Amino acid sequence: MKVERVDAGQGLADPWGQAWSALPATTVALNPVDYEAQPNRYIRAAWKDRPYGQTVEARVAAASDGDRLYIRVEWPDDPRPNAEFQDAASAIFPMNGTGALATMGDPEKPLALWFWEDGRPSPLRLVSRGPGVFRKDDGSELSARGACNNGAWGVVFAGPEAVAGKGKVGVAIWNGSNEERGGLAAVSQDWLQLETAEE
Amino acid sequence: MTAPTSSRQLAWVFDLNKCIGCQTCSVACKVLWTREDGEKQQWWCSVNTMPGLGTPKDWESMGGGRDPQTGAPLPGHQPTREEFGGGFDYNYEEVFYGGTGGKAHLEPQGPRENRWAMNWDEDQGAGEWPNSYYFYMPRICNHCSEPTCMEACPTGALHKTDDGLVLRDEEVCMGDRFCMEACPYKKIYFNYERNVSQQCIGCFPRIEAGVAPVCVRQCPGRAVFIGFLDDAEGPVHKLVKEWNVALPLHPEAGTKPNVYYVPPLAPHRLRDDMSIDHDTPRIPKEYLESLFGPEVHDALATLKSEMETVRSGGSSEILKTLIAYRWHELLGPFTVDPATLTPEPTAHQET
Amino acid sequence: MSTTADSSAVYSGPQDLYRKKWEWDGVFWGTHCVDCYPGNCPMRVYVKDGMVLREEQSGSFDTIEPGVPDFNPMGCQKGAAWSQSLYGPDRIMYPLKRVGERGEGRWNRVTWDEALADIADRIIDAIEEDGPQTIVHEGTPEMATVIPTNKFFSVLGGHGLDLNGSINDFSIGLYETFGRFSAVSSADDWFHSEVVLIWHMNPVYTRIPFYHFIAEARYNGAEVINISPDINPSHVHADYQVPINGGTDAAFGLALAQVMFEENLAHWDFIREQTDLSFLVRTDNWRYLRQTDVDGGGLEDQMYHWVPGEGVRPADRGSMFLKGVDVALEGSYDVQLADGSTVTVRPAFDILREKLNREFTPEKQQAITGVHPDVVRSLARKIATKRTNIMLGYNACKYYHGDLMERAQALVLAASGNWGRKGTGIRCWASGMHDGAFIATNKPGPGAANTEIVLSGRDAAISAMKAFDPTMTTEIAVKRLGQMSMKMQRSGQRPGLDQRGADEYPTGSTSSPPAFWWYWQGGYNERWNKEGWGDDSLPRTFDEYFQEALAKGWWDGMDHPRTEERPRILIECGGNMLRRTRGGKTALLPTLWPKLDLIVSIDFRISQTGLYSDYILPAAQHYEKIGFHIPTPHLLNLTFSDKAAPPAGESRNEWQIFHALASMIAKRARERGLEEYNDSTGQARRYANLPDAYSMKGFLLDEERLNDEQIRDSALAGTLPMGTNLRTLREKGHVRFVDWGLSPMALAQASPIKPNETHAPFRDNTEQGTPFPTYARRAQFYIDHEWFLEANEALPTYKPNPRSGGDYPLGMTSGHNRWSIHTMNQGNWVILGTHRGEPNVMVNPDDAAARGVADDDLIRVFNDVSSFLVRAKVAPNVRPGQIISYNGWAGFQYKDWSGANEIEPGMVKWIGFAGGYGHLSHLGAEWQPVPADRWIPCDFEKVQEVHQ
Repeated sequence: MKVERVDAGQGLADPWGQAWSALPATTVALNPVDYEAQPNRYIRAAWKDRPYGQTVEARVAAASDGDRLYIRVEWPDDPRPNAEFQDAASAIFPMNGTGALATMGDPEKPLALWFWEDGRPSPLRLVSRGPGVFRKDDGSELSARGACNNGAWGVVFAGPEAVAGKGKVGVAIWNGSNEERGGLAAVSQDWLQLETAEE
Repeated sequence: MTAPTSSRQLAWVFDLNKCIGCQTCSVACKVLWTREDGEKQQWWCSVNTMPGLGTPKDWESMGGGRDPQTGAPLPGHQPTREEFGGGFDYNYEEVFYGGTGGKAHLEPQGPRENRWAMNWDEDQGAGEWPNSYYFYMPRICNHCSEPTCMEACPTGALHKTDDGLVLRDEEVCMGDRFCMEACPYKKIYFNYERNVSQQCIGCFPRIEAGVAPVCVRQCPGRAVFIGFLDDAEGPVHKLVKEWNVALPLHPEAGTKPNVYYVPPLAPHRLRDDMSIDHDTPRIPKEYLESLFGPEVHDALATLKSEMETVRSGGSSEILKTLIAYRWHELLGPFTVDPATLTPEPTAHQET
Repeated sequence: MSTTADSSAVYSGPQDLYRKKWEWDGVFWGTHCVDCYPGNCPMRVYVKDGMVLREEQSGSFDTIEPGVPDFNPMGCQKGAAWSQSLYGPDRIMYPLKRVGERGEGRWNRVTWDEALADIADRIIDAIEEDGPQTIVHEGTPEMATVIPTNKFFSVLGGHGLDLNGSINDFSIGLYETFGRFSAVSSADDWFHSEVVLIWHMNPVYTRIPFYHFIAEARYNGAEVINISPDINPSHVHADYQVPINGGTDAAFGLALAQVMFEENLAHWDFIREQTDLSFLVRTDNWRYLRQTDVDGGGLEDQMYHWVPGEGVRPADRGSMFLKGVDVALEGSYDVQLADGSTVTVRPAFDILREKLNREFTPEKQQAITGVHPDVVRSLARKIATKRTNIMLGYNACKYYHGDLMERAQALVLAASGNWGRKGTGIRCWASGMHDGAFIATNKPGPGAANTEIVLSGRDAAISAMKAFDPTMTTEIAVKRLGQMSMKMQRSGQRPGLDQRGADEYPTGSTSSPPAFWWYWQGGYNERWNKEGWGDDSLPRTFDEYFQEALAKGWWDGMDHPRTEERPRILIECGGNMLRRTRGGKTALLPTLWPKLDLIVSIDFRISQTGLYSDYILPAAQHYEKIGFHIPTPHLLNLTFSDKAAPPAGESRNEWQIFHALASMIAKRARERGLEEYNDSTGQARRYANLPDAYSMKGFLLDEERLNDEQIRDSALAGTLPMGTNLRTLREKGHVRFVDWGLSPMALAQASPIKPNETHAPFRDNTEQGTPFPTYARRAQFYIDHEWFLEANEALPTYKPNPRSGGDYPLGMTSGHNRWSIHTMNQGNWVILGTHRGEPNVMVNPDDAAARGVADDDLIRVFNDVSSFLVRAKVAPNVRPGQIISYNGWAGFQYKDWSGANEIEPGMVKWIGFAGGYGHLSHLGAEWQPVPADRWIPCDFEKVQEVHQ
């Protein structure tokens, strides 16, 4: 997936802004995070017969202003109300070159998540060693903005280019209407290679 | 699951024949710990009238705990904001200064339907007059020996301390709330402002300073004991392990809770002609058994026979222990007066 | 302790968040100096950066009596959240002046000077036009408020309404029987009881800090019996519940006594000595046989026994002990009178027994009370053989015929010998002991020498009374002096106990029972005379009794303000008349309010009365000033409350407020060229002197010194240990009294205070034979006052609840709630979270269903008086036919600001106006007409709501 080079100040922070409509987006297939890998038997018992991660695909786009990397994710909103849980999304990066998206990483090959949640005042940077096995990390350099538009969520993550690291990205979507949190999410099947545009 | 590794276990005993439902424990806890934004509707310690739907509403039907055969944690319902209820905002400004002339009165704001609160069904009870019945039951986190909250947490935010408390690292907690589902006692709250779950911390800052938790030290009914379960000389050990008059709540939930209850006696029932029925208990046996298991019958029989002994001039170690002639007997090893921990000399402030 | 060291490692790390919440930089003693009894809970108030953070019980009491549980850790949920009302949204931070109509809820913030200047001007207008007695206040029992308020009214010459006549915390029946305001055992004495009768009390709600003594007494072998129409919260730890028909308790009590007499279980010698039941009663006019009958002269209150084989023998007025003399309790005897005629006499007991056997056998009482005769019999047998303690609250007395209930309860104790021993008796509340609080603020000047002047004056007055009648006890002397001083207040004479030496400023205010105020100024004359609302068995109308009482001079000097005296200014300092008064604003807004030129509310929060006031002046809260809770025998300690933080906003303590007002009056009068005015007794008072007279030339304004002197003066008066002062109290927080002092309420305890024993009242009576301060000088069960005879109430009897409010199927009862001290804490956000957060009335499920009402529905409760809207709480513990409106909600928590008191007619039992009969003569806070508010006839209906 191409990381489009744009000038600073082009309004990339706005997920539904003009800047993004001009940029190409990739459709990414999503799968439920691996059930067997769920971190404990409570969660496995509670979600044994209960579907999660049913968001089938998301559209992902990337851009850079040379300083910060922007990842935009768009997926259809589940309109069912839920007062307790919120929709959320992550842009996922490998920390040691690669890692298993299907299990949200593992103890040996953790992943870094830029985590946005509807209503949460600022995004988190999470280190993930399995489905929902998160540790909060310093996310002070991250920003994220999400908005619902015509039945679809659009979320834009932004962070230091250097943090994005090794040129791969994945995404995860949590459907709050279905009480998804932790390792209960839809995650992209495969890493997307980030191809930085020529200067 | 990682087996909890406490070397000792703190335990509480609430004597339901002394508890009067005054909520001093709840209020003391709230004033000390849960006054911030996002904590308004949290009552880490709460007292409910039993039988009743309690807090959160109908918590006893919300599942969680462990399968009695396999020990596997059982799915539970995550209590909602509405089921906890409470945390009301009021229209003070409008009533006092709004010029409404009585048209606006001070009342909780927000939707009226399905309203609930921590102690919503206070003193309603069950049965039919004149044989209606109820009693009071304080509840805090049970600091279980085999806590399902801890097992259900994907981030490892919960741990057992060396003293047996179940504590949460709120820096780690992601607010996933599997703990709330898995807890059979529904004594974990969610902070919607901070996106973390919170529950009774066993007043650990006080414990580590040798001061009893507020629910114990501030109980004017002298109804709560705290101590280490393995302290053979302590009242907690004796009441729980030796005399078997203090029982865990919903032992069938399988988490091995460390809060115990001396089960409630009640006045005799009345027959239809209003004479006294000495044969049928006012509180149905089945109900008490549903709370405390079949052991409740022996515990009550012990209490009754000890009371009979004392009434006919005898003496009872059990009842003397429950009387707790000296207040400090209730506090276990945590008898330090917190006022003595004030950093600077408490010289009178010049005004 | 090993845990500490081990734990600190375990808990280290990210948990500092919680450690920080438990940090403070100052700690002070505190308590909640409001009208709360138990009260006196010693707390530690934790402060950080000059703000109060929280409070916690001190747990600092030593064991008093070995083998009895200690008092720790006294407190309750209200006290544990008091700090949360300090800076809350109902706190007043600066003076407010009404704009718009009264009660409209529009205010302007004004400066203290602006407010005080306007108030001072209107006070001067009132004084100049009608005299200072038209400036009226109704008090509160908070010492830090009542003392400065009374002092202000004393130097001004204003008028005070007897608080207890408004709130009716007065056990009328006990007073009629024992001549005493309630006697109160220390709460730890409850532990000694073998039978605990919870009877018109709900200690699970109202005695939270002391309740444990009941639970512990039960574990110590006592049986607990809860007697109440509903299965009220105090049933939870009882062994028996007696669900009695509402208001029929007198019949139940009389039947208990009947069983003890008929089964010969009664303590006959106790009855002979302690009660008047061995006194002879004439059968021609049903009056006592008196010395004036027998000798044709002598004492009217000299009564007689019948000694078999000897004949009549004068009862000893100086001692109750019979010293082995056998006196008859039964029989019928002929006695020759001085005029030569012969009259048949019978001991009062003989008449009582006949009455009980005729009307109050267990079977006959069942028809009245619904209580099974077996229950009566088994309970009577227990009471007769065990130390029995009746836990009585100020609940029975709030029934129209509550005095009859209490007299029956007293009879149960008399029959079973259950007073004057540990673990026995009957109780509500009393105060006293802290004599220094009143001495220090009324003596001629500061210092111990001035205290000595007051103390020697008191002693001299008592000695003079005793010289007049050597059989007089100190208690009787003090009561008579108190009654005399009430009478003398109007003549400008200095009352006997009020020896202030030759101070240079005239002082003294008048006071009166509020019943007169209501009757003449509050529109209650219509209600009290309404047919069917009072006692229909009486031969005359209410007004006839009222006029007779006035004509006989029973209330001379206290029957004010009369119709022609328009009250001009009402100053409420801590009081809350519109919520407190039975009838509330329905009664007072159309009648009294239009007469008042000015209404001032001095308070730290907005009250129902404040909302209808012209000014609200912000007072300091309890943690913001030095003070004491009113001490009571429950605890026998003086409990100290320090100034933990400065008064919030522009609030000031009451001493400062009234001094500023006195100074402003002096200034404005000077500007108007006014110098002097006469008070209602004709004494001249000078405006310019008001500030100095008020402050004792500034001495009372020094908060430290003022409080130090109060404590020292109590030590000098002998009620606190020698050497007690402000410094020692700051160290210990509380100190146990060593003696009672000379207030009537304290003397009524009639037992020595022993350092290592619980306190049980009336031991002087049982152990020393000291007479009771009644007309008969015994516990008086036969009251031959003409009104009592006319009403067939000479002996305890049962009368049904009148239909006060109309003919309706339900009865509304009340009682203090669990969640507030009166309205205090109703606005506290923490406490509001411990219940439904708004008022409700509890109703029985069948009554609710019959009216289509479900839990939490809005209902209208109504009768012929008025109505109010409230949420229904459907509860099976409520008796069918009863609804319960627990007391304490603020009016503004109800729709239209109309609370449950709006449907209470505020009836007073006519007999409260009786006088001229020994103890039945007005004494401040004691004998006077008091309002009834229990079992108010009413009904309710569902109100259709539109949900938004």
